[in-house]
This record gives sequence, C-alpha cells and structure tokens, in this order.
Amino acid sequence: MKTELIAGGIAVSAAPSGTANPEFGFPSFWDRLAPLKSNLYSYILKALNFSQDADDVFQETVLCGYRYFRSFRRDGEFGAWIFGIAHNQIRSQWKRDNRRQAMADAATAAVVSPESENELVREIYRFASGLAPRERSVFFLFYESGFSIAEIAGIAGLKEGHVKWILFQARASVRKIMGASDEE
Amino acid sequence: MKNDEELDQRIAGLVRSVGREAAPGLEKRIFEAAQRIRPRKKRARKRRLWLLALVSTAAAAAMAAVVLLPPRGELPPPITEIRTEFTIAGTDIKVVFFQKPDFHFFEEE
Repeated sequence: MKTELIAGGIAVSAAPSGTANPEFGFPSFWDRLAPLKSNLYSYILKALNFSQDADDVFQETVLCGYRYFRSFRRDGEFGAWIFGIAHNQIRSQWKRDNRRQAMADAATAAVVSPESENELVREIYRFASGLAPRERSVFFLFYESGFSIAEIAGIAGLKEGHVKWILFQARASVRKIMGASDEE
Repeated sequence: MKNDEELDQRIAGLVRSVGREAAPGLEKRIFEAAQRIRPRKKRARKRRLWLLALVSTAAAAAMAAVVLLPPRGELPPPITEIRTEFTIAGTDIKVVFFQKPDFHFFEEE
C-alpha cells in the first residue's frame, strides 16, 4: 500500500506490516488518516501554541488511533474520532507542561511570514495564545479544522451551548482586533 | 463586516495562513513505532468482559452461600423422650410423666 507523508518531507513507500485492511470493504486506518493528517497536525500545533512538543503529541495521537482503530465504529465519523483522541492527548500535554504561554509569542512570530496581513494574523494568534487551553482548542477546531459546533462539542466533551459561547466571545474579540487593524 | 459567517470565513482564512512543517523524519518515526504495535483486538476485550462477568458471578454465588446456608457440622441427637416431674405441695407425692415416641394420649389399643 502506498502512503504519502503525514506532515513533513519524507516519502514513505509502504505502510507498516499488519496495516492491510483485515475487514474487506472498509478502508484501513492509514487510508482514513491520509486526507486528515495535515489538518490534524495543524490543529495540534496551534492548540499547543506552536510548541515543539506538537510532533510528539501528533505521534502519540496517530499511534493511539492505530492501536484502538478496531474499537472505532465503522459507520462513525473518523475525523471526529481521531480529533477526539488528539484533543485528549493535548489535554494530557497541558497537564504535563503549562509553560506554553511564555513560548507562544516567540514561536508565533517565527512562523508568520512578512505579508500584507502579517500584523493582523500575529494579533489573532496572540489573542488565541492568551485563551484558556480548552477555549483555544475550541477556537482552532472551528477556525483551523473547520468542524461544526456539534462536532466540536463531541470532540471536546462540551455542551453545544458552551461551544457557541466560547466562539461568540472569540468572534467578538477578533472583531475588535480587526476593527483596530482596519482603523490603522 | 456584514455578518458572523463572513467574519468566520475571514478569521479561518487568516488562521489557516500560518503553519509549520513537522520535524523531518516524523512520519518515518511514526511508522516505525506503529510496526511495534499490535492493534488491540475486539475479541480479546470481549474475552476479558466475559471473564469479568464469570468471576463476579462466582464471587456473588460464594458470598450468598456463606450468608444464606447454615454451617454444616455434627447433627444433634434426636429427642427420644420428654420427661416432666413435679411434687404435689404439702405431700411427699412426686409425679413423673414420660412422653415417648410410641406414647399416644387417649388412644385406645
């Protein structure tokens, strides 16, 4: 089975042994992961404020998903399932290390390229890095990964009303940032 | 901004304009680690559940047996006679009744 890269620059020609789909007619774990991996990596990276630990958390997420893939309901939504695993891995990482805040600005500054909306993007990321971890996770699940409110509620284990409230507040704050940016 | 949807789209565009590539070799590392993992099988989990149910049922049955059943030991000897004695007051007469299994009160032979 040919499998393309996850997020970096190395092409892997074959999936590990034992990854061939044991249940004929259903795509394997790696087939299902392939179209989501870039989005998954970005979500983990941003929810962890561009921490270097994002690679390890991504690896743990993929391996955990692979390990428990047989418990995944075949008629379920794979994206929500794997992002739910990622969310739990991110939460574990928050518990292990809460130094993210200090690292955020420097890391964000390093990735933003000098383009027209550079300053606005930087302000949005500065705002996101200042959010509480759970709120930041909801913010990126919505704006980076493109999940619906119901899906985010399922992934993050929150009520839909709570997700809506977090997004409402975030939207209002970003609107202010944009307003200030437009005035300049 | 006209409405929230437009604003959301613009925010999403700005948020997605930034990214960082994973460390080189990450995918290879993941695949190598995955090769060492044997995916968990449902059957094993089912077997564990079945075993858990069996063990808990057996434990419940053992506890019920201890609580409900009387302890088994030597049975007491059977009663073969009932003896009743009394003395009539003011006399030296002592009356003794023996009740045995073959005794039938008011029964004619």
